[in-house]
Amino acid sequence: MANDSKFTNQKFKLVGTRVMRPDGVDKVTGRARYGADASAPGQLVGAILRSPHAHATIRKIDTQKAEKLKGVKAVITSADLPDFTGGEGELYNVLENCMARGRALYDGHAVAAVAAVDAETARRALKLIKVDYKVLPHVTDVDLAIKPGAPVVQPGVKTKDKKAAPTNVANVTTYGHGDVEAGFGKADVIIEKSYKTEQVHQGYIEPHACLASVGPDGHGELWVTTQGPFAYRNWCATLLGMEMSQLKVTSSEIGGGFGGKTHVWIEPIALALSRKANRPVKLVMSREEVFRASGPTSPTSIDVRLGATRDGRIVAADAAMRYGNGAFPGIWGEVGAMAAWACYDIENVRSVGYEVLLNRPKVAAYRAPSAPMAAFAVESTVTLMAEALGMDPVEFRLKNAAREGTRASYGPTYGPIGIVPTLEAVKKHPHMRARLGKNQGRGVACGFWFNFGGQTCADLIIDVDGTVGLSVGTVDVGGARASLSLIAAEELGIPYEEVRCNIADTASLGHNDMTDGSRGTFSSGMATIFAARDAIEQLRVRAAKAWGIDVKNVSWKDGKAIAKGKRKSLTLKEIAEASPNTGGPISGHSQVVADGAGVSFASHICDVEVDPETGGTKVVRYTVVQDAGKAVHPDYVEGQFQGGAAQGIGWALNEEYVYGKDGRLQNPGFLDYRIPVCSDLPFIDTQILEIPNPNHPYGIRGVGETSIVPPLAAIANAVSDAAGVRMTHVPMSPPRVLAAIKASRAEKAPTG
Amino acid sequence: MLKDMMTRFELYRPTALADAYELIDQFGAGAWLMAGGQDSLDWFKDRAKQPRAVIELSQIEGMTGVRETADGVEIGALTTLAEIEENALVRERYGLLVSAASHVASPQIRNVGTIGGNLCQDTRCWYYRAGLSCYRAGGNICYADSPEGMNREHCLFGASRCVAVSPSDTAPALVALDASMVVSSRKGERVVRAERFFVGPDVDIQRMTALQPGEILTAIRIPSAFSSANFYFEKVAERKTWDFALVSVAAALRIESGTIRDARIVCGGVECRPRRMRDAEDAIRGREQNAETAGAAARRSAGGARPLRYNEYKIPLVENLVTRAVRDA
Repeated sequence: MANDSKFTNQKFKLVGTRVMRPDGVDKVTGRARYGADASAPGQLVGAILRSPHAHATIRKIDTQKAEKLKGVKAVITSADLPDFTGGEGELYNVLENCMARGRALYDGHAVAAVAAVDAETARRALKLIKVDYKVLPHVTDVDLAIKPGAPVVQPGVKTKDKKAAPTNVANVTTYGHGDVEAGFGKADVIIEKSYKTEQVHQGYIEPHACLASVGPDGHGELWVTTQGPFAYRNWCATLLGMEMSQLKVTSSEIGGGFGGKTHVWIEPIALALSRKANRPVKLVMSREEVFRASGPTSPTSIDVRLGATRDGRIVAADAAMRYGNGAFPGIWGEVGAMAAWACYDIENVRSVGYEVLLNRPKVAAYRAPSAPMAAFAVESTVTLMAEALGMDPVEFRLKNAAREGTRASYGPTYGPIGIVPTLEAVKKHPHMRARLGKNQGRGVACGFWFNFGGQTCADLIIDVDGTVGLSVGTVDVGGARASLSLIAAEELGIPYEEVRCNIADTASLGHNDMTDGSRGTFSSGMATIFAARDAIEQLRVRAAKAWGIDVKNVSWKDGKAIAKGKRKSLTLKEIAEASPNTGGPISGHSQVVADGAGVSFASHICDVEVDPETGGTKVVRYTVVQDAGKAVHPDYVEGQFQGGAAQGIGWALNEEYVYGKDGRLQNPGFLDYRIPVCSDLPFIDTQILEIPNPNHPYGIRGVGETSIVPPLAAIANAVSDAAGVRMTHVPMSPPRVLAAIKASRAEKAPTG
Repeated sequence: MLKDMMTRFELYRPTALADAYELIDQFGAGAWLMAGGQDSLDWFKDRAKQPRAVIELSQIEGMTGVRETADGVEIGALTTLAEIEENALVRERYGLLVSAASHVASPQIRNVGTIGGNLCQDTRCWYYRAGLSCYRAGGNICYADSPEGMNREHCLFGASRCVAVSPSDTAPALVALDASMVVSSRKGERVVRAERFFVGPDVDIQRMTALQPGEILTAIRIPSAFSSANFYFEKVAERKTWDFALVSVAAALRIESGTIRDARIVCGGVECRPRRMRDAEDAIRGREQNAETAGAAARRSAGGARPLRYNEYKIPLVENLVTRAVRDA
């Protein structure tokens, strides 16, 4: 029973209620401590020197003058970070990304770092470091990077054949089944279209920040804003040649991550500086550094081919998906290829993902990484097909949607899933019947995300006064402490207010994978249930002992141990108070690999108004329908739905990395990199569906990421509808929309 | 580079203009005049400007508020944009300025930012802002107009080595209202018409206004010529708040029984200074206000435009905004 993850279909008393979050007061009063809020006695300030070139060989770094400057306590280059990774593979890439090793691979690549008594001294020291660069040709555009003769970013990278010439295509992966060409042979209508998306950043409000301290005995501590203290611990320890138990990592409150805080950037540098200076070092990125040198998501270029019969059945689908990875190989094209066709039941389907290297920062995860761009290309084409067939876009999607038992394009066969129910809900939603005004258009799009599970560990402590401390190892990025406290209280049968959830440091709990893949509430929720069940076992044992009966005859209900057949019961509080004399402290523990994270689907509706004379787009109405499995805390589920849609709106309309031809980022700040502000967003309506995940006791699925998948496509479909011209390039900023309208008018104008 | 950390400077808050002049003399090129500080502080944090002394003008008497004059109103240069938005007199007579002021940045910035500061702020060219040594910064290259330059937000008109644009939302409105700028210095006071106050790189490549060292913009005078006229203001930007105009239009039309008697149409975001659309104005004086007249104005609004590689979209934007201004004012 304790570790049985089967769906219980129980009636809930607390799960599903909208309680106050335990971290709320601290956050609104400023008491919460974020990455930059920790300080230590004798602390130094770290600063990083970054490459001004997109691609260059570093011939020499002269740090002598900087080292001699009064107040400078340590200067490091890659020579201070010897390679403990074996010289290749992902971890070596992380090492080289943290600090350039003989070559700078993008504008902003770290080259050297200093620790000094104050920020001003650190800044002056950076100016005294002389770097001798030999500038090399560079490439920042996905389509240009794969052309023959393009500058090669990583000479060691070969696509397949080790003897072949190096290219910028680090890997090619293919997913699908059936015979695609034969499928197109059966199609009555075939639509082919190419799409492009620009690079965007997660835009978390809190820059990367940490406080590192390594003592002369080689033991270290790191306070850091992160989505995964255990992963950070493992990476940092390995990169610095430490044993994992020698480094304790504590996660601060996190001011947003969205996947961007699942990779280390400045942390190994801070530790190396601290080790060299023998003092604590605080290192905080500026916003400019965050844009230039953390991990934005991929720019993409995607070709889609879709074939259908006249009666509206998709018979063949194909996609070639080129994802910019930045300067180091990743898996972003592969993830895009896996997600591309996941919403549909298609007999002959293929998607090919290309990992394209560019002189841009190493790409990191961004909320359902790679899926929004895939959905933009696929869902735009699906709408085009519906139009070509004269079908309603929702009906066309319903007719081809995946269902329980469908073999997904990326391999597995689906269990109970939510794509059809979300589309049915869209069909019935009043939004779909609202009348559109002049220059307005409507778009619909679907989205899919895998959701992760993974290694998870939790401790549940029953204190002697009967209140409960819950320790989990997944960082709370979206209200998880409230959700997990609800789950613990539900399982134990006590009030929500009597549970306090704490995020443990790496020395206090077993390994936990990161808070990514929408796994926090799913995985730690499961571990919490198991830990609570473990604690209940012990509570029953103590009660049985008090009554002198066999534990088999003690049951647990509504926070009480109940003796079988007799009218005797003991509350959790009573058992806890007696615990010092009945066997000592009571706590529950669980450690699991949380398998069976249920896949997630969403369908979005978007209305926009396009000003054909200025190219400006206003989102006038937006509705999100998504399957949550079970909404543990509906407020935070709705918040996730709205947040994903809001980020998607920015991505679709305004946000983009602008690189000059010199390979330098021109807009590394929030004024020129235009994330939408309140006045740019409509009220985002949400509808939660609950199709239980059979692999979780409470039916929970991840909810955090899927909401960012459909917006690019939903908005593109709406803008195309409103402007009368198909938009294939995001962001759809005023200049781009105006140019598209102008081009389409020129095309339509009679010639001769 | 480290950001968000200003270099050291002395802060002075004079209470009289005479004291301010003295400080300017004392520190010379190391002095920096600051109004609301909304543009200044960014420069300091980026360390692109490192003054020795910052002379904050907010304590000087008589520099704030709106006063009625014999021929219109006078607005103190240190009046905040929020105050202008709220002022009954300005609202009643010069709705064009209210509309322009209400489109500046965000409400928080308008609570602190002043009309004088908005008019005197420096260009947003991102190469110049990055502290690169371009023509405007005393160097000998324009990065935005190089083959590598990203110039989507740069000028269509009046390029002269530099291709930056004027960022102010209120400047086009004040040119349209034929306002004058009161400029004070130790030598006394001079009054400069708004149209001549803003200068292009052909006149002075390192300044965007006619202000000379030692001079302070103390007030703005708006005459009654276009008081309560028909106005039109529109700003096209990517965001609805906290963004600079891609192109903006400010128009003041005097219309009598359907006929346009006089017109002043000014665009922002297309030149280093607010651009008066004189050809368009000439084309509509004496004509009926209708779509046809608006079209005639539009056709004469982008003549002579010289688009850069990435800003050709501004031409239809100018034409469409002028059309709307004439048709809907």
